[in-house]
Amino acid sequence: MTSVALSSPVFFLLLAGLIGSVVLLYLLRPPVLNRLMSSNLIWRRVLGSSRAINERWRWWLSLLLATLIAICLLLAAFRPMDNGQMNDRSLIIFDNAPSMGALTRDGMSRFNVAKDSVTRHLNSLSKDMQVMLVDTQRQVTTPSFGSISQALEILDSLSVGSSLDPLVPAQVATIDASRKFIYTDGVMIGGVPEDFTSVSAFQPVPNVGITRLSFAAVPGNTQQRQAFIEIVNGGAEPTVVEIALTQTESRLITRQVELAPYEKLTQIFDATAFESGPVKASVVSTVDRFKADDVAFGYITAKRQVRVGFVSDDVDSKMLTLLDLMPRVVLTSLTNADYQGLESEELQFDILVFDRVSVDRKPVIPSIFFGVNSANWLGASVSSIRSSQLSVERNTAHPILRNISMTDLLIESGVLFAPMVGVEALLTSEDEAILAIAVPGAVKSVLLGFDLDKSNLAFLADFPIFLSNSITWLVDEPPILNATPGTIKLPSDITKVYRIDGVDVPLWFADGNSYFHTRETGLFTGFSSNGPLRVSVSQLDRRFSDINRSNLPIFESSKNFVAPGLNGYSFSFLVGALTLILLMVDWYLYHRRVTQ
Amino acid sequence: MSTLLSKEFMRRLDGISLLLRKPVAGHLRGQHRSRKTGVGMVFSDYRPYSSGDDVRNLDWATYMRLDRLVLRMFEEEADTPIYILIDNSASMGRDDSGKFEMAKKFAAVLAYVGLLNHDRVSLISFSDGMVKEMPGRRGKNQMWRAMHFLESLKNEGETHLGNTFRKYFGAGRTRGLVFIISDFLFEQPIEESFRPIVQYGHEVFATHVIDEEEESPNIDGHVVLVDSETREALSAHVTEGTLAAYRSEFDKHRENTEAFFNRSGWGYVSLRTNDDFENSVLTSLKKEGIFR
Repeated sequence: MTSVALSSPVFFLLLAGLIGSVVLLYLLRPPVLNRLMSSNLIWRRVLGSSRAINERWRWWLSLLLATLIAICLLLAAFRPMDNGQMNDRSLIIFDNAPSMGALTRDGMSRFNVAKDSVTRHLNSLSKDMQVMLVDTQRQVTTPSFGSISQALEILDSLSVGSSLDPLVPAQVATIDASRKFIYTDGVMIGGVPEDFTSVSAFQPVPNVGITRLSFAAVPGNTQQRQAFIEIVNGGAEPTVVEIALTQTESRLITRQVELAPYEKLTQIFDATAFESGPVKASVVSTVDRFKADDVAFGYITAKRQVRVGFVSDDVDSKMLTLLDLMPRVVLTSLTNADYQGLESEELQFDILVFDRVSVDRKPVIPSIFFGVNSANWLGASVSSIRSSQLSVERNTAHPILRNISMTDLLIESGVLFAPMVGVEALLTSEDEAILAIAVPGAVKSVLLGFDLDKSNLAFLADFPIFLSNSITWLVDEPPILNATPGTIKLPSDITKVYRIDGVDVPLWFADGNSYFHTRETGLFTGFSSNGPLRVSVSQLDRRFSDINRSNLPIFESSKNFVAPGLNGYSFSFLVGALTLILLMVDWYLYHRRVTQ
Repeated sequence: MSTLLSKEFMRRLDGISLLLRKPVAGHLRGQHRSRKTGVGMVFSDYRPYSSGDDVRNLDWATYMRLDRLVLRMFEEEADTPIYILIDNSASMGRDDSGKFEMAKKFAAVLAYVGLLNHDRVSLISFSDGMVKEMPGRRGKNQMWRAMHFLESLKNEGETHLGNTFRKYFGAGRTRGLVFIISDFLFEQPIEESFRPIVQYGHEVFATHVIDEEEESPNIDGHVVLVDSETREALSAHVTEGTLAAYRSEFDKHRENTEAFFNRSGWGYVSLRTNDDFENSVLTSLKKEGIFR
């Protein structure tokens, strides 16, 4: 009884009211009339026989009531059902999906509205109630039933998440709890099971967000580059937004567009003026109430022009002509003597192309070698081709040979490379002799054991593509990695990750991969022995911007937002109330027993 | 002469005599048949004459015919001891219900008729034992004493017939006619209570005095029923159903009482306080064969 009474102030009030009522009833009870009888002999017989039945029933009823009261008191005092079986427990699912970050009309985010409501809800519960707080973004890694103060601490630690794969109520619907609530805007959780009480934090608000950002060269004119931006209006009202592409302060492109309700719009910008490097895209709207999808980050990896130094003693080389015709290439022709006379710092090239030139030292810049005679600096042994007109197999997985056939390649003479660790074979003969290799690393190289004179390579339609692929592989950065906020998986050779402002990001390794975690959008750079890897973290997803697709009722204001817990009662309270009712019934029966 | 009986009613009683079912065992001459033989009007038997017998009773016709002296014997007419026991327990006098007044009047009637018939009339009031007694009196001139005795009675105590009978008749009373005037509301089994009377062979006539309010009480709701004798309080919630059950139980009680007296070969009348006393007394007693 004590634990019941202490469980709720309302219980005390009820108890006081009950005692007052009983006393009042007793006082108001009409005085019993004394009636002098000749003898009670007959009366005793009459009442005795009528009571015999009534008393028997009353006795059993009184026994039943007493048993029930005892059970209630035991339940209230010892709460045996709290040991993981049932049922004075509440499950609260708190939706902290990205859409909960949208601002409502009164300036609070949906997240904060729901958080305040859950706080009020928890404070309204009886202190001995067990509560499990689960967030849809799985920030609480191991949810369990605990005290209200623990739930409040967990609630305080939650923030708006970024995952588009939230926990849905059905996943926790089997948890045994007497009452289940979900505080949500209903955008990302899907359906709400019937046994859940949903509390809506949903209020439709205007939103425009970026759902796609990419860069590409214009086909046929590699000097020109375009940016593609897709934006979506997630609100029910038409809106005007300004799209901005920014690389530096001087490289800024803006455009104003109008979007119909829920319209998706793709815009193409001329980004020729942008150099390779990070680019920020943003949309600006005066009515936008959801900022998280207003900014996206991209990275331009391809250089616009490549400075090529062609080292050959043959002034009529077909290679020279071909390189000179490539639009990206700024060609400089050198003789071997000129090259040998230059110091490392004097080599103002992005790539060196060696045509039938013996090089004794490892080049300090990426290079392509045609007709290698020896590669002592590489540590690779070579041997002459013994049979002419070899059939060639190609390594199709390598980026240099992407979109290249090489089926008709014929080699008259040249050298074969011995297999080496850390060197990738590009072309092999039928007997697996290696004809061309690619050397990865900080300074990459491509070596071919044959030249254009002793093969028909120059006559193949794929040769320009081969050259272009080789230049791209040698000088361009690898494609950037686009990711959404959360845990981001990287190749295993990434050993360091930095934010764009130079801050070191913690990295961990598992399952042969590297991982880092971020809740914010932005640009990151991972470093490995093979060079940098750019990581663009943006919320580029239509689901992210569709923050108004909810079937839940609209709450008007956080001021009149009422937590359902205020209408609920704890198990102890109910048991206590039941005990009091039973006591009243028993009192009534007792009263009847002594007066009849 | 008395506040209990009016002159007119007493005049009506003057011509009434008591009729007994059994021969009496009185010692003095009276107007009732007795088992004794002696001077009387009713022939009883013959017996041989022996010396010293009253020669007035010799049957001379037999002597002439048989030449033997034969004596005629007659039933002796004797007086009857009449014991009028009146219940003066508290239950008889509740709220001046009229029960006790009626009981006293009835006792006065019996005493008057008994004294007129030259019977020995004893008046005894009882509750839990004998309370007060007017020893046996004969003759009409003792009527004033009987009236005075009755008028002086007050209600008190609990009813206990067994104790009363044991105490009173245990003193060796002459077998006679016992009138019991009571409401018969007592705890003890009636058979147990009357066993002493059965043992002494008295003829009994019971008068059951019933109060109308007692037979059909007019109460409702929550009441505390206080027993006038024991002061026992009985809390009750009285409903129509309860009252019906009470009336039924009361009838049953009365019927059981009457059945007991009938079974014992004794007389029984019930008098209700709301009845016309004089007519109902005469009617019921004549019907029962007590008055002639």
